[in-house]
Amino acid sequence: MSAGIVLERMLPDQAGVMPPGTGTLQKQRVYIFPTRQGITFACMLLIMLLGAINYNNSMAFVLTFFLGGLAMVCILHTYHNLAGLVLTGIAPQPVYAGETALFPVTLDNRVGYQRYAIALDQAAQRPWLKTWQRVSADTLYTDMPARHLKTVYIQVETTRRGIRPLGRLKISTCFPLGLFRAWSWLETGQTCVVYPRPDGNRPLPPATIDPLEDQKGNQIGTDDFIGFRKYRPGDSTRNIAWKALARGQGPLVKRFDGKGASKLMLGWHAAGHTQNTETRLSQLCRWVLRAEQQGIHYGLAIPGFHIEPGHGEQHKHLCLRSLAGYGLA
Amino acid sequence: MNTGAAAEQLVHRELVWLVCGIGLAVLPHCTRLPVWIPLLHYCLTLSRLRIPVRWAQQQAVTLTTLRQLAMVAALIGVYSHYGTLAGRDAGVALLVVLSGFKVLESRTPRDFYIGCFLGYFLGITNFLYTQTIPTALFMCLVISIITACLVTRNDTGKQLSIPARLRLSGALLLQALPIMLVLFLLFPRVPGPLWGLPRDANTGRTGLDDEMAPGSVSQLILSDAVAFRAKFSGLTPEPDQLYWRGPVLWFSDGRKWTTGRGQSGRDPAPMNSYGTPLRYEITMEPTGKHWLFPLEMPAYIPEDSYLSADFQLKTKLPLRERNRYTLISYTNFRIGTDHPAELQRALQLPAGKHKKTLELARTWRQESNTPGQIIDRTLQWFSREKFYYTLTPPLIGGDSVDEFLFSTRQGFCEHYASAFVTLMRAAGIPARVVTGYLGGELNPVGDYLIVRQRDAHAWAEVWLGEEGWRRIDPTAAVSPARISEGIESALPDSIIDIPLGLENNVIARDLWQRFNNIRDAINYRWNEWVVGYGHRRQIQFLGQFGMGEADWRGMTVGLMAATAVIVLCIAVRLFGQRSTSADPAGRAYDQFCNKLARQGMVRHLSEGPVDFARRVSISRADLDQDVNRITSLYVDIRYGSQAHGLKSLQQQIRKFRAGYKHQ
Amino acid sequence: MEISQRKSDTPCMPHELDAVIAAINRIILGKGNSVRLAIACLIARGHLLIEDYPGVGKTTLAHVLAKVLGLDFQRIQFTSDLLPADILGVSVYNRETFSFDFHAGPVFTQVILADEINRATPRTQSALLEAMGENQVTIEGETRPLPDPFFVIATQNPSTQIGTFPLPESQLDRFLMRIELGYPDNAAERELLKGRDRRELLRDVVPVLQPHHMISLQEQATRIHVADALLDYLQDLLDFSRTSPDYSNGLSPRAGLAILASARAWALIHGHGHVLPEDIQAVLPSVVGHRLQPVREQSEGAPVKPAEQLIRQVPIP
Repeated sequence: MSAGIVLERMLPDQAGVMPPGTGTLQKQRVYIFPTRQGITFACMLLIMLLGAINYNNSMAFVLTFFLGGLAMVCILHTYHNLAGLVLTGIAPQPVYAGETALFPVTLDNRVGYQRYAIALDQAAQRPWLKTWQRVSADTLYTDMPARHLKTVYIQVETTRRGIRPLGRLKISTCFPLGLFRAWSWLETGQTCVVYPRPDGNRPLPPATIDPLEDQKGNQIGTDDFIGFRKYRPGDSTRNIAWKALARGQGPLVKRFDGKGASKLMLGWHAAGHTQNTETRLSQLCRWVLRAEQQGIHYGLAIPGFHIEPGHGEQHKHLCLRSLAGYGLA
Repeated sequence: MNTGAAAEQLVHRELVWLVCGIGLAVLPHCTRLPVWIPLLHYCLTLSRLRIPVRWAQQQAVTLTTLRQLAMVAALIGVYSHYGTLAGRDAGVALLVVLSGFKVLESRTPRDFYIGCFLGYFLGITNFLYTQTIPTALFMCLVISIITACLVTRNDTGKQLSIPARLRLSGALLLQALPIMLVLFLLFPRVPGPLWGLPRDANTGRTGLDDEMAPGSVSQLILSDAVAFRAKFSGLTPEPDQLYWRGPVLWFSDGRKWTTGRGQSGRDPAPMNSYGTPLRYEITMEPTGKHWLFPLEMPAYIPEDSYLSADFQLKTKLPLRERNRYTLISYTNFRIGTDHPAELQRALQLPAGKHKKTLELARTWRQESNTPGQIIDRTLQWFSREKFYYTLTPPLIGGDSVDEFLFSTRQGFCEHYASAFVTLMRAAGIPARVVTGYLGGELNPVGDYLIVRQRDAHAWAEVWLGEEGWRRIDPTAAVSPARISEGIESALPDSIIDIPLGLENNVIARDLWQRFNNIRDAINYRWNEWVVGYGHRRQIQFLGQFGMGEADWRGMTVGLMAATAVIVLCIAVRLFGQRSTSADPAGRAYDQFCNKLARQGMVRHLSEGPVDFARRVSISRADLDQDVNRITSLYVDIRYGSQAHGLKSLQQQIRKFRAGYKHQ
Repeated sequence: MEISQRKSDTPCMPHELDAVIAAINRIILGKGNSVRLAIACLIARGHLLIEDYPGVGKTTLAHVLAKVLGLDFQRIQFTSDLLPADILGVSVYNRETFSFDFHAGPVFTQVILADEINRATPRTQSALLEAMGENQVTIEGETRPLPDPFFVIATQNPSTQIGTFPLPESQLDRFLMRIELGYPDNAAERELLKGRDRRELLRDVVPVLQPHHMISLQEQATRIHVADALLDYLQDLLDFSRTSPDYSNGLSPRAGLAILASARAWALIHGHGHVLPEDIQAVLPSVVGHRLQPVREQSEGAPVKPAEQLIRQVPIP
């Protein structure tokens, strides 16, 4: 247990609810190497040693060897500070393009001592020599009390919609003296769904209402009442919520669930005349959000996807996920 | 939690530590450097603490120019004081100044680390001046503070309190201690310097030299520093026998006596010795010179030394480290041959000087028959006339011997020795001045003699034909107490280091003396085993373990092996998995989890035992029964009301093997 | 894997509860966990809030639960014009006896389904909630006890909608658990579509337990052993919720008691002789989900689940 970092990979569908211990565990190797300061320190020790030999100065030998011993002990302590940590990547919440994706990573310090200054950063695909020393500005430092679990969020700026993998994660520490850096590479396999950025100012296409079933829909349902929406010209006066109007909430219309409710298929061609796929996806994304907000039953019809009209958070995410994955293998 | 951007900033608390650490490392240098250098250092470092970062950033250009100008001025200052920028003293001065500037301009973590390393380096420079126990202890403090400084830097979450940081730094250093010991004992030592030492490497060490002028010995009297220690294997001789022979001075220029030229290279004159040999060891403090100080007269000398014709014992290499020598001497002896050139040199007198002295000598020579009579007459004259033995003789302006003999008549041993030899030579008796030490203080704690610089002495030797060279101590004629009871009785109390107010209290003086003895005994061991641990001592030490023949290769292998063992021990201690559970069942269960974890089945801290057992059963069907049985028992003990069964649980867990079963 | 149960002082256990669960599961498909939670809530003498979309079977669950347990059932559809008297009942003047006769409202029953509780005005809501808290109602100065067991299942539409009165946090606290039913999975959905109408099935359900069995079960649950180690864990959970910067308010002592009671009931259902950390973990999301507010405002995307985070972050001692 003590050697290496343990990485737990969550399965992709264990996004929300995470019964503990359902992922697969892997042991990762921990590397250790002097930092730039450590190399400077070694040079200084060498100079001290030469001086001590030349002057035949016993106390200079003592001090040099003391510091040399300190460096050796430091290797152990730095390694000790990192090894044995258990890391779990948790599926992040979807974001819209341009927002910051937060990748939750749970650190599990099961030992009886505290760990300090554990640094987490994305290693990206840069060569080893470049990432070895550099501490980038968005490196996350965290301390781990003994027998403690902690979730940290790795921030990743998103620019494009799609599936954004977290990529390789570097977990490292220089504690206690900064002369050595212990680190490990982790492939958590986390991916974040990046929805298209809601954009475009085209109005929502008109909903289709089946006139035959409209009659039924206007009946007061038993458990099919789904809420209110703002009054729009043309709404039946029978559905106006007078009480709400009296309370000063403005004219509201009672809406009822049922086969007669308005249905809307958001189509590819309505979303724009431009050939730019991204612009269209942005427009569709905004429509989905607006339709959801207005309580309209909506579906999605874009090349490769056909989603039947529906409503609710889950339906919204299904639609948005489809938009995010559009055209991607 | 914080980010890398925040970690790149230096914060005030780190700088406070850095300034403290470096400041302490500089502190002992204050007495050795011109006062402005440490002052400048402290001003610079303290001002770094006071400068608000924002203001400093706004005024960056002005400040940089100002700083550069100040730095150039400081460098010029150092250069003009020492005449060089190299060498030990100038180097240290430079380091102190530059470290001040480095702290002042610290902006990035890199600067900070360099500041810390400079602090370590400044620590080591102190040992070029003094290697005493207090210095060593003080340096331990300095390096633990600088180490705490590094801890502070790396504690990005600011989780550790000040005592916690000091404790961690102390723990690291304690763990480094055994490694240091092994390296210190086994690192192959080279006898000589790798390259030339700076000229000033050994100044500041007092001691006898190859010349003697009025005042040069009495200056040594002020020094409490130890010249050497001597340990006799038999009885310690009487104090008036303890003449430790040093440089022999032949040539006078009227004021200053020097060894002259050309006497070395000849074999020592034959020596007839009588009585019992005295066997003893002397531990020389490093002097940077060649002289050893044997008891008159040495018969057996150490290997790497030689005796000159006038019985000066010299080492082949200068004494750069503390060394121990074994010697045999006889206090009854006869030395010398009537080598004409030597006797001629022993009659040399500076031309046209000491006219009154020559006149007196001529009178005595006419009135006496034998050299013995002249000697007696001279010594009687010294004791009868109003000659005084004093440490603070009046200044002598003109002819040093004439004025001393005929007007001031107050002097120290070098005055008497030089006047006596001049008189003898003027009377036609070959004579020479011998310098060295007389007496020594017996330390009953370690049963050895401490000979300090204040025991420095000068006496005369005259050639008496058949009798050879004979020692005559004119000081004895003036102050017999100096010879028989040592310098302390001959000099006023103020010279001896006794705390104020205790001079008249006999018990306090006695206690003080005893305390000093213990202190010196400790210092003796320290010097012998730590400071004096060089090539020779290392061979001796390894010899005790039957490894006296070990060459540097053997030592390196031993060194690596021993270091590896220590590192391994620390690692085992550090990584040894200890359960932190207060509950015995919990501890046993932790052990069980560790066994499974080694097989890749790690229990999450937040995973309940039953859930974990289920997960293990799925991935390792072969363990299903064992795991379920143990878990069920554990759960009943830990969470149920069942009190018994703990023994059985511990037993089952001990027997539990998580490895794949071979069937 | 099953932990062998050593405590056998549970007379009507476990097959009868198993039968109850099996009976309900025949009607409510693929919601075994929610059903068990609902029963645990009942055994822990708590009230249940179901927050979900229309049509997922909230009503059916309440109905079948009442029927299988052999309890009386009433349903109140909450609307904005519902008055307290519609729930509690009114006194009507009886000309023949020349006195006021009390006509008991739907609240005088063993299981109440309070449908869409957030549609009613706060006044009406509080009438019910008071009844829930005190297990009695006071009408026109006369205090009338409610039947035992008394179990309220309230439903609420989660999407923030105009014209509703969301229950304030203090009122939410009166519900022992809040659960979500969610959509059925594929297999369950298919079976649902192929099978008979649920309402018809409901008619065929026969009671498995007698009302007094329920009371006995509730008694048994309070006697389930709780070890110190488990209390340590519970306290760690409470402490963490109070000290962690992730939550805007920590869990109250009442929440702690609620967790413990629910965990005991859960242990009883699962035949554990004592409460295990797993029992706490199983009930925790439902018990604290509505009591814990995450600080981080997740404006978009799926809602954060504070209870799951809590479970993951607190080690079992």
